[in-house]
Amino acid sequence: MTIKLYNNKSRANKITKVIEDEAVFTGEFIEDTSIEGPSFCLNVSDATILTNYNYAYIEEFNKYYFIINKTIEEGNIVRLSLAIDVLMTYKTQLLSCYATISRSSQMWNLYLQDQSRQTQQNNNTYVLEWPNGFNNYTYVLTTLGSAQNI
Amino acid sequence: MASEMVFSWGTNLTATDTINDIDFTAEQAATFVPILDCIDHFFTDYMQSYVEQGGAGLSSTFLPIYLSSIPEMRARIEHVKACVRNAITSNNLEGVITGAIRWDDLTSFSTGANPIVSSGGDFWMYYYNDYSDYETYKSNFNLNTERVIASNGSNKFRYLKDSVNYQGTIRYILVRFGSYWDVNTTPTVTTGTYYQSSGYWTRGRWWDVNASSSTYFLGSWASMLGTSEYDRYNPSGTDNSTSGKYPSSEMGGLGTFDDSTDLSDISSKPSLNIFNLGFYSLWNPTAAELQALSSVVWNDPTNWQQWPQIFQSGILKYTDYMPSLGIFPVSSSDLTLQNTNFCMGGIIFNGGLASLGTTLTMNQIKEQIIDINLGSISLKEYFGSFLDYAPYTSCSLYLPFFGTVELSMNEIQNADKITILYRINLYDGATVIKVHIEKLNNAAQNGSVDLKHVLYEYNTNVKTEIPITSGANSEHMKTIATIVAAAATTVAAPIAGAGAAALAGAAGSGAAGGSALAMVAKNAPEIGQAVSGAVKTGASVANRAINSMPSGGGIQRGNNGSMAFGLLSERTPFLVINRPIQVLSEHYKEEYGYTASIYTTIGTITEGYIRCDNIDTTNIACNEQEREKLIQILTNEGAYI
Repeated sequence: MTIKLYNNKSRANKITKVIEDEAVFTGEFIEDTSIEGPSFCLNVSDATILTNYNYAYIEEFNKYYFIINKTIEEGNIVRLSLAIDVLMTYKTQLLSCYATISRSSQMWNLYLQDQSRQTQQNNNTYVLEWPNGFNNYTYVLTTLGSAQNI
Repeated sequence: MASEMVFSWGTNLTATDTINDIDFTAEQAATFVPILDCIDHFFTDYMQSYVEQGGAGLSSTFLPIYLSSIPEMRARIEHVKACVRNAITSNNLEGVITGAIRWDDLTSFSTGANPIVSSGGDFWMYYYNDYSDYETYKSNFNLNTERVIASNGSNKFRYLKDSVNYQGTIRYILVRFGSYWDVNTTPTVTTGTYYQSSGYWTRGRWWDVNASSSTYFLGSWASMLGTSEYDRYNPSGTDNSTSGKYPSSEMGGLGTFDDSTDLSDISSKPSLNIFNLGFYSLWNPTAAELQALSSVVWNDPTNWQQWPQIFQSGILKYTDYMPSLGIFPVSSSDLTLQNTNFCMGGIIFNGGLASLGTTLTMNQIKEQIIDINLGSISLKEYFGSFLDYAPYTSCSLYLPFFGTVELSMNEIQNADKITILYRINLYDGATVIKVHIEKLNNAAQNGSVDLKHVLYEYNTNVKTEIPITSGANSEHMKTIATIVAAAATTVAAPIAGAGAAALAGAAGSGAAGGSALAMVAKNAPEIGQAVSGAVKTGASVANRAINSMPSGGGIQRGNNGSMAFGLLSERTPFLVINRPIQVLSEHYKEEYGYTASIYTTIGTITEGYIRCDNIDTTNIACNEQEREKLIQILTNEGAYI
């Protein structure tokens, strides 16, 4: 069993994680453990070396995990509790899935209402005048009869 | 008639099968009914056009054959439609029709020689699709995109739903029913545009290209898939880009999706002139001329001795022949005038009056109805988003001699021209204010169809009466006071901004304002009043009193501006727009994304944020717990690529 530990610098809901500082451990599980949320012990020379690791990959499972708990037990035994990172684990398949995208940073319809867009309570008021107005006046007189001599 | 044809999926159709022989799913029907209607329409109009043109291009020998073939042609249309539908339903909206319509089937209309389809004749349906399988056809016929329904014994129709280039949208279809197209012959385009470099054909144009041996029809129907040139989402990834594609096959209904609309300018004014009837005359006196006239009216009665007997006897007064004098907010240059001898009652105003000289000439008005065009403004989107429209952005329009009204932001936003025209009846001041909206070619930006029409129409009165008798003056003062009282106490009722209600004028009681018009009505006989209904009823003046328009949340910006008040009010129209102040945090787009409704693969988004309404995870080999977690992340909090 090959377990690789990493320092994950990406947010949890990022599909493709940036993982660094790989440390490789080999061994065998000596107790039952879940594949989705394994928990196991590592025998390390110095427990503090695991301080910066927050992410793991188990080769045989082909899955990526968040290290959600580290417990130092007797001696130099450190128990790691993991939770599967489904985004990174199934990244390739996930990217080929069809979906109805409701929000994105690259494709959008800006004319759909967006409840998360914020506006201030105060508005701006604009005035647009027409180019012409009634700037003159004139008289109109109505008279009876035709304007012809009779 | 063709013999039985076998399709690649083993579906057998006979030559007489019609569209009714194939069952469609609702989605398929919604998508392709318009295409088939397109074919139907093409043949109907094409054939009709041919008939009307006397079968232009057909010799006298073949024309009768063609005309007699029309019923059979109609049958072929139905068969082609059935074939297309069958192809589409059989293979997930992608299919190839083989042997569907052979060219020789089309030639069988003739008795041997082919009057309609020559030896190389084909039945083609082109649509915008860069699918490359038909390069051979393309090179033969010098076309860039084409999908052949029937051709020279090898008949194919392919419609790919989601090809990279195609994007699953049929926008335009060229249906060509013609003869062999010699590649060396350049078609002569008689009208319209056949092919544009962008691959789009002009929407809505028909043209008939008569090449040396070809006659064919181009038709593009935006409605065939419920699309216009606007595509509802944007795959480009460019900031602020608003181009996009309409989701394929998702119409949401089986309506016609017909985006055609009538476009028109402001109607021309009526040519009615009451002074042609001989009972009235309208004059445009200068102040000096009015002074001269009043000096006669109020001068020493001995001057009356100069006048005919009827005036001397006191039976009639001058003012009886001058029912109305008013001020209009126009210039003399706006009027059609003819300088002539001033007269009343058919009697020229002359007679050696010492104060006037021998005669008084005055400009007579020769056109009773005038149009005062106050010009146009344009209004462009500020945000380029939903924030430009109601309820986020609102507007009100101040109209001189009327007041303030609310307009529909959806109708005027992005208008190329908002034109205001006052159509004035110089007889009584009755005025109709027309607001004409012109908004063209917005489809690509925001999906809106063309708009060019008068959408708002308001009745008012722009004449300020100058009472020339004491009785008339009392009436005038009373009317003014009544109008002010009505405006102050009456709750304003909003005028519907659009549609028939606006054009018909708003409702309201006629009590207050009626008196103002009644004053005019007293001095004017019935003749001529029919010119404007507002004069008769008086309702419109009262309406102006009531229609003190609130704008934006019940705010009252003003009240009655008609008649005497109008002259004292603002006399240039203006639009008041209330826009929100948007607050976008830094990197909003990258962190939150913008709203969308796009069906595509998640991997289409290559960076930034993504959130989905639904995901098809069937191809992910995971357990249900993991699947639920995947869906929960992508539909609730979203993810970053």
